[in-house]
Order: sequence, then C-alpha cells, then structure tokens
Amino acid sequence: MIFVTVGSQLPFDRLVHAVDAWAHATGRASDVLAQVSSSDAPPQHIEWQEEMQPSEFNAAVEKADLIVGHAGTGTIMAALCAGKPVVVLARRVGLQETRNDHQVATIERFRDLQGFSGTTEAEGIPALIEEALGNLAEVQAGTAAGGGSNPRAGVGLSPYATGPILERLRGFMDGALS
Amino acid sequence: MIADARAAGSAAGSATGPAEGPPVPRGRKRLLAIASAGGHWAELVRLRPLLDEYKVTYVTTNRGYRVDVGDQPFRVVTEASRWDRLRLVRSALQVLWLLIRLRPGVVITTGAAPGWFALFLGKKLGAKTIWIDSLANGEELSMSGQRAAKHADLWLTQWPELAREGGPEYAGSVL
Repeated sequence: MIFVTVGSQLPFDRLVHAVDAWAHATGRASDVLAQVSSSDAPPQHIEWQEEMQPSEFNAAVEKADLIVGHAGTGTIMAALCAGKPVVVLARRVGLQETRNDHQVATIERFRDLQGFSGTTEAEGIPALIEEALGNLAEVQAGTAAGGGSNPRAGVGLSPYATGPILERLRGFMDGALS
Repeated sequence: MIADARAAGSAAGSATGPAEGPPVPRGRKRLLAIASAGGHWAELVRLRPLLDEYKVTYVTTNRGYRVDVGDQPFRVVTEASRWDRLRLVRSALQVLWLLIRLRPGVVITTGAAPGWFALFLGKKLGAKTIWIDSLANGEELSMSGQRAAKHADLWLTQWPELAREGGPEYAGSVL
C-alpha cells in the first residue's frame, strides 16, 4: 500500500493530483490511501479522507510500503522511524501552498538520509515513486535470496534522539530544575 | 482549564506517594514540554527518554497525541498562528493558565506559536527557557525562533550552519 499524506494544516492538491494521475495510469489506484486535508478538488481515483487522528496516521504508516507526502519534518520522520521509504514534494510559497519556502530547504537537508527522496516539481513525483518501489522490490528480492547487501535496505531512523543534544539539554535542565 | 491531579498536586507542593512506580525524577521542579501539532511535536517527542527523566508535563494542540507520551501528564491548548488574532489570544491565555498552575522550572519548546507564548510568559514567571528551532528551518531561522531569542536562556539550532555568536547554539539535532 502507498500512503499519501499532506500534513494536518493545509491541503496540497498538486501532490495529491500527481499521485492520483500516476496511480490511475499504472493501475495502482486501489493500492493507494490519501489524507488530503480540506481539499476543494479531492482525487478522482484513489481512496482518500480529509484528516486522520494520530493513531490512524500511525496505523497507515505501519501498513504502508511507501509514504508519499509533503516535505514536512513530521511526515519524513514518521516514515523513516517506521523503516519506510518516503517520497516528498515541497510546498511552494509562490503557489500559495505554504507561508514560506522552508520545505524546499527541508528537501536539501534530508537528501542524504537513506530512504528519502524529494522534489519541488510535481512532474518529478511519478519517477521518484517508481524508483522507490523499484528499490523496495530489490530489497525484497535480496531478502528472499538470503542476501542482505542492498544498501537501500538500511532505511530507518531510531525512534528517539541520540547524540550531543541530550547531554547539552540534560546539563541545562539539571541546573535549572534542582 | 484544570490541571490534572498529578500535575496540580506536585505544583502545589503536596506530599508525594510512597516510593513505588516510576523511578525518582531528576530535579525538584516541573518541566513543561510544549509543541504544536505536526513536525514540531514529532521533534519534541524524539526527546522523550530525556524529558521523561524529569517531572514533565507535555502540552500540544491535538488531543490524539496522547498516544505518544504514555502515562505522562498531558495537556492540550488551542493551536494558533499569527494570522488569527482571536485564536492567538485564546492560546496565550490557556498557556498562561497552565504556567500559573504548574509553575514549571523549565519550559522547553520546538515551536510554534503556543510554544512561543510558553517561552515568553514562562520567562516572565521565572522559568528557565529552552527554544529548539525546528529542523524544518534549514536555511533561515523561523520567525518565532528569531523572536524567541530574547526570551530563551538556551537557544538551539539543529543545523550547524545556522549557529552564530549572539545567536543560536548548535549541539546536534533530534534526528
């Protein structure tokens, strides 16, 4: 299953329509679930709902093979924490999709993470989805063959923060809360 | 808005129960950890193992996120953005009420508007304050981040390129 999510704040029809058209053209419409927010033009072919409660959202992420979303950090981290590859489209301020172009920067910042791919152009979404699905198929074939050498198999983010930020915060809070 | 029993009890300094259940928290005073729904909250929750070492109360803007914090004290306030003044006022008042009830020694937030209120008002009420600028602000600091600076005792950016003298400090990220 492919899970499409636009986050909890604003619709993002450019993404939803790109996935809808791709899913229809490739005959995969029945295998896609989309959370589209309050859209004036919901998708024609794929299953959709406006909002999801956090528990529903988590269940959809768990069930999905691939997440396709807006380039929000919550979406990206939820996917990678669940070990799922994620394809994102950045919202653009010029298209009234957000209040500034922070999602364009987010794509650049996350680009090196295993399992992540992103674009600013809706036209690029089908190719990224196909590539991610191809990688998944390779991983599954590799696993079935008993090999564990495919680098894309390493998709994942630990559920909690690690590293120096913890010591920095602990030092500060120990002093302030004693 | 009424604080939950556990939070209100400790804020009022009442006697705590027998030594059973969770391990003894670090620190005497309460920690208020607050973030808006979405990425802000997702980033804050990644610090849970650390935050849970203290007497923490989590605050966000969507009731459904209770599933993310187990049995920890959990409160909800109104989401607000600078485009909606009425909600801003409501959100600020709810945050102020929580601060008065809980009297946290530290306020930690990853944004956005309700977190900013907690930082600003918490500072006025004597708390130490921590602003962690969101990972999403990869090229420039968020507007609320820049405004937070004046009221944050610890101001962290999660991108090393954005750290600067007189500005945010980089000490790693929640990734």
